Amino acid sequence: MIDEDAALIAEIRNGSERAFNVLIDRHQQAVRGFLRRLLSDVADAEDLAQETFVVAWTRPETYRGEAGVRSWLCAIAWHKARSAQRAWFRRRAREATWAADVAVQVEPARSPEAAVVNRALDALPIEQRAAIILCVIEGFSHSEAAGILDVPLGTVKSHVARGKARLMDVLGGHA
Amino acid sequence: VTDAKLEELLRVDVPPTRDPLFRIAVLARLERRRFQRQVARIVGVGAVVTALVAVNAAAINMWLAADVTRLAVALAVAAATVWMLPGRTASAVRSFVRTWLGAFF
Repeated sequence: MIDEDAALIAEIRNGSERAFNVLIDRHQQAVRGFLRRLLSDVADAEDLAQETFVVAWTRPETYRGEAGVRSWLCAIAWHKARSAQRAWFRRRAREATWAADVAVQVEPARSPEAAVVNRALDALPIEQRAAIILCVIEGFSHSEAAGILDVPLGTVKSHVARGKARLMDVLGGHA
Repeated sequence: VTDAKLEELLRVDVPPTRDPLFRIAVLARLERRRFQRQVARIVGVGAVVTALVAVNAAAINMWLAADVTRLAVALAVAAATVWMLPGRTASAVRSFVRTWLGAFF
């Protein structure tokens, strides 16, 4: 799969729209899932997911083959999400206001427990949330997540451990 | 609560494995980008050409009035400019030269 993905990127560099379509089909689920959980707002997440693939098409040379293509796409998505978050913070003076808005925008989950864990996930700092999403939901290793988030491996491990502990606490309280 | 349970709860509402609508949305966004770039290019080049012609209007008039065949040169330059507007300059010039050479030879 990794070799196939690298071949796709090589074709995209040569302007192959067919390869780009395959790339989207293959990785849209991971990118959209990551952004939906990271941002809570589905419309914003979809917007950034589309932007992520636009960057993949317009700047395929940024893929250097050091990590998988899925990691590269999630790294683009992460940078987009961080920039978007900074823009939101500039618009809103207080994080509490932003957090309250986000809480309203959360999609209804399938079960009360899932709703509780989603709210708890939204309440985590964005770096912890991203680490949890990548390592627990998307199945990336800690070192892959460190590459995506551009932080040291130890930081990712700490984010995952703290985030999981926080989610377990919340769930334990509701069990 | 176990790790497996936490994972299961976090995995709800996963986007579909295949979603043609999303792919179409990305391609539409790319097309919009291309269109916007093209419009910006046309507006930019158009503004520069208009400004150059306006500034040099008197000199151009004198140059054209001196020899009527120069009108053909001016028209060729204008046609080349219009030809170049939508695409990349180098490929547009090659295409322009090929077309005109093909028409005469």
